[in-house]
Amino acid sequence: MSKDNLNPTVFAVSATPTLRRFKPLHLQNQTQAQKAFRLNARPSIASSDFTDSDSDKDNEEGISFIDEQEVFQLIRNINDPEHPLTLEQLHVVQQRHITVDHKLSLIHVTFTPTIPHCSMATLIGLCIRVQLLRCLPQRFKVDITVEEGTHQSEKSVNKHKERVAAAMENSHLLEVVNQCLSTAVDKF
Amino acid sequence: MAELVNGYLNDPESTFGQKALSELGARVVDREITLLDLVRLAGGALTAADPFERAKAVSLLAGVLAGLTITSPAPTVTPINAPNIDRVGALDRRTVAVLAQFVRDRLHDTQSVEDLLRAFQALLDSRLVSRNDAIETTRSIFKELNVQNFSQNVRFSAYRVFQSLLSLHLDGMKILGDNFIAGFLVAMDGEKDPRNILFCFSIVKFIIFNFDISGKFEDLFEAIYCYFPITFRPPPNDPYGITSKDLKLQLRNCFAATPLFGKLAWPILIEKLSSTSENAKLDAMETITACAPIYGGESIRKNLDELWEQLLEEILDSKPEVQRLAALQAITAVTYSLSTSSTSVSLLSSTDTLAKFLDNIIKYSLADLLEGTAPKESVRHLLFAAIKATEPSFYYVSTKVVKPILQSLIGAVANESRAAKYAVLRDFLLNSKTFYGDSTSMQDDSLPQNPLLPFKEEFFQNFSSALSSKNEFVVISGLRALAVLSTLAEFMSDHEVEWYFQTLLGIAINEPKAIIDVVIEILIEEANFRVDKVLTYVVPQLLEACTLASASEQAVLNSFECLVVLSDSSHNVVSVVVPALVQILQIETQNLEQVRNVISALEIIFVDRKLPIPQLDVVDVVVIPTLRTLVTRKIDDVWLYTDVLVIESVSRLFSSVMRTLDSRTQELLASVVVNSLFKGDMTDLGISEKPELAVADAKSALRNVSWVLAAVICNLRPEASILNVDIRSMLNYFVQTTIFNGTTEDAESNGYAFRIFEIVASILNKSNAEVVADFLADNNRLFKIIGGQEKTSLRIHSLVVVLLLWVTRALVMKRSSASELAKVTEFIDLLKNEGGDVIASNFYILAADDPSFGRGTLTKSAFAKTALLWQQKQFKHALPLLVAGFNEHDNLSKSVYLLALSHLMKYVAKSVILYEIKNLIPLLLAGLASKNVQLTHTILEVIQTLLKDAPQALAEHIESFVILLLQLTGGDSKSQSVDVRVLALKCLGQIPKTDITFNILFVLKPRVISGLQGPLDDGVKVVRKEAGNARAKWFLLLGKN
Repeated sequence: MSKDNLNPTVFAVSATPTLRRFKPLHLQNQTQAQKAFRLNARPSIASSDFTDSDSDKDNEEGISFIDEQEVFQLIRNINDPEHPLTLEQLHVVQQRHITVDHKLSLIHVTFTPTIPHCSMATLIGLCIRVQLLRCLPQRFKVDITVEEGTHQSEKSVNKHKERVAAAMENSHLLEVVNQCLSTAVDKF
Repeated sequence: MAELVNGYLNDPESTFGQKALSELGARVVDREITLLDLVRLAGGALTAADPFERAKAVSLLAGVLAGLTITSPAPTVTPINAPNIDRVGALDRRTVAVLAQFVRDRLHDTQSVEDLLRAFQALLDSRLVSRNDAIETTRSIFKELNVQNFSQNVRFSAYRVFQSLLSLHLDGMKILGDNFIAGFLVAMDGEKDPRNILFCFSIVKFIIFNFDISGKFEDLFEAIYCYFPITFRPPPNDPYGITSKDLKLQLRNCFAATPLFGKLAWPILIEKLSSTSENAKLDAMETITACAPIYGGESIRKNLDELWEQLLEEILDSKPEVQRLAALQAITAVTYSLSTSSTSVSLLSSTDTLAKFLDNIIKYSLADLLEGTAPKESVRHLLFAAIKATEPSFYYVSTKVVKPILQSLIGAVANESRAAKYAVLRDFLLNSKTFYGDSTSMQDDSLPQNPLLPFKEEFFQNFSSALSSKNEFVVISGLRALAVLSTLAEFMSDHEVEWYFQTLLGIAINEPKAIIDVVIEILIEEANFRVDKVLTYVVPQLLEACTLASASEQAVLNSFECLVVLSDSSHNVVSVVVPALVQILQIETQNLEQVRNVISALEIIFVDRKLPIPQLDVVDVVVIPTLRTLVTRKIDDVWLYTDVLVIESVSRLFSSVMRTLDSRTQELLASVVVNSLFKGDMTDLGISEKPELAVADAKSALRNVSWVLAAVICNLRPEASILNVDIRSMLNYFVQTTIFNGTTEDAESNGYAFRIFEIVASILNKSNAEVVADFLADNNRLFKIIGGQEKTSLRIHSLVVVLLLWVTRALVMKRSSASELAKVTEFIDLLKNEGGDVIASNFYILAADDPSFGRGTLTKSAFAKTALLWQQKQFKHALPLLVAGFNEHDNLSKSVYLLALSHLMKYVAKSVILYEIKNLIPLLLAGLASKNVQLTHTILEVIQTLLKDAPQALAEHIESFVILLLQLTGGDSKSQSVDVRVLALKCLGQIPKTDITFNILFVLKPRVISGLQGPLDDGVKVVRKEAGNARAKWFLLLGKN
């Protein structure tokens, strides 16, 4: 398979914030200290009592809806089929090109091929779709399109969206897709 | 004698044969017989018609000879083949000459060759072979032997002989000259065995270095180039452990052994660069890097353009990193070799090879830098590789590139392009340091003037204006460039350098995080490079910013951050910062945040520090002022010591400080703390009035400070003692006040009691048997309470359980003998009684690596006395008892036993669990199905480590585990706690990556994938994340790796 784009531009990925050395006390070792306090605070607790504080708190504080960032996290580390680089590094996917609509249960992802005649565009779209099918709840409808004006045959690439099931029957294609997705696990 | 000879000849391999051989050898050594006698005795066999018979006789001779050189090796001090040495052991020159002749005469005898070579090797080892014999024998070997017809072993012997000949008779071999080379090359032609190839390569290299190869270098090159590039996969269990890397390196050394190879090698190397195999390319580039400096610039001239085109392909951003690095190194090496062969810099004309090569690079780079909107990383690396090679290359490239770049920066430039150009300019400045010196070599007149100097104004203007850009990348790359510029001599005035440091300071306090990170990186470098400037322009201002009322909260935090990091990087800084921070602590202020921040900063500075800070009296400078502030300061009418965050932080600070000290200083520190906090005598702190109650009392208002007391006492070294205190009464007092003095149940009382328990346990762990015996005798009542003989309140019972568990741990840890382990048995017996659940849920105290949740009480880092493998011994002791308890009792008590066991399992080495896994599987499953969250959580942690370290243990029952784990993930009902859901999902996600057989897992795949649908829609983000990850991993389970 000859490569379309031998020398793509690689973008600096904003590194996940590194832990800073200094922390104000109320942020420092918080969980540990609290845990120590909690366990120590009630040495006489029957073990069944142990649960309450935990789950109550989590249920109240931790509830959140799926947002753009969460979707981006799922696809940013997918490998480009051509290069040993991720879609994020190549600016193929960006968080600002993702929308989540909870009312309609609709997620829309727009991606940008590295060059207008990229023959891999369909495959990239397929990878993103498969990854989202695997990692998002069923109730969402996922729409994946090529960014307007970035690909020669936009329409034909966008049309492929409904053919996932058929594509997944093709064992060679499935292998390529899995290859690209294998870099996306254990990263978030 | 003849018997021995015949015995060997009949069957050399038999035990009798071997015995006969060593017996004969011994007799020759003892001069009972001579070697020539031996030849005579074996004479019949030596001339027998059957070649195998002859071979046996020769092997007898070779065996005896080899034995001789081992028992009496040649004296190494004498010069090799010194004519005055005629005899070594049983060998003399005459015999050796006769035997050498014998070897020559027999070489045509194919069956005997192996032993003949062995015999000749032995003769060579004796150093008695004359030069003539050496030459003659070598000639015969070349003439008679077709080395490649023989087995690997024989070939190896032959190469060994060649090597010995070269090292012992180099003069002789040089007389043979081209004949030797030709003979050897024929011998190694077609060699395929890796061990032999390695050997041959080293001989080839030796020949190249020692012979005149001007007539033969083409043949030599022919013999080695056919191996390039070497691909080799070592067979499993290779006894010689030869790797592909060894072979590659040896071959590369041969390639790089002589400049004569240059003309021959370049076309081949360049051809390999266009190979389809990435490995071959990599090898070719690495070989170019090694060879270019040897071959010299002249040899590349013809192939230069082709070489450039091939290398350019390999440096592109999209190539794997190893590939890119190798290509860049090759470019540097080629540039280097071209530079050394070219004329002086000033005469460098465009027709020169170096100029031609560099022009390619310059053209390519400028095209991208000046026209592209987003210049590529590869261009920067390419330029860097070219300019770092030599001064001429730097000079040539910089005069052609720097000016256009500077010009292109005038006016509006896209941010990405601007940032990239600054980075390129920085590379130039950085490399100019190597060739023209930095600010420290200012007086060095021998260095030529930096060609970048005329542009200094432009540099400064550009970089300093970058700092006010709105684009993060521009600011960062401007900063980095400025940092380099400021280190160069004559580029910035003193005034500008001062401005530079003040700018760093300003950014460190006020800018967004990404930029601050870069500044901190720069400041760390500066702290090592010119600490005086940092101490003058940065540190005092940072300290001031920490207390500035008008500063924003973020600015203050940034200042602390910067101080902490700088303290880490330099001794000079830390010994200024620590006293200054303590000074700030002593300022009477109503700002609680400030006090907390200072303490936090001090804590962070001391954590992870293994050695004391030089020239800092930590007791006077840190401990006493901090303690005084802690017990006397009131902020908004609240005592500082009631602030839990502060107390915890100070206790962590003190334990970190303690761990850096030797035992004498520890005693000193401990006596200050014990006097003030236990005895209530605060004169050491400069406080004269006595507080109402000693701190150590349960009812004392100051009792929170027990955290600090614990931090100090628990970290004493065993050889350090607590001065002027009666330990026995101190311990008894502690027990009395914590347990019986009617404390209420609240966080503060519990915190107090538990810190005191840790102190008791620590002291018992580090004391002698007498103290322990006294303590146990004095406090017999405690055992009655947990045994149920004495009725008390539930609270007292719980406290006693925790204390005694701590004491048991202290003792078992110190000496895990049967008598100590019996105490664990007692606890297990009590599990069935009322209150057993309290004991079980605190079992972690017995087993945990650090039962004090991060403070390190009773761990090695707190200098606890630790017996070897105590956790294992305890586990092995407790396991059968707990399993029996689990099996004997009804459902309610079952979980109590299981909980106790789960705590032990969590911390014991996984190999021990593996050993017992058959008994444990049902228990693990029961634990997962239990309604007790603490139990489920602990069991999940155990399963997580098992899946990581020993997944095979669970393989047989993996289906049961998967079903239970799926239930725990919540599914539709969100009954489980978040922690349990997340852990269960993590475990599920681990399973596909384990080495459990695909057949077993594949059956489960559909069930897991559909089971994880529910958790994908969980309300909590972390759960969704883990569920998505686990599900993706199960999808990727495809049965081939």
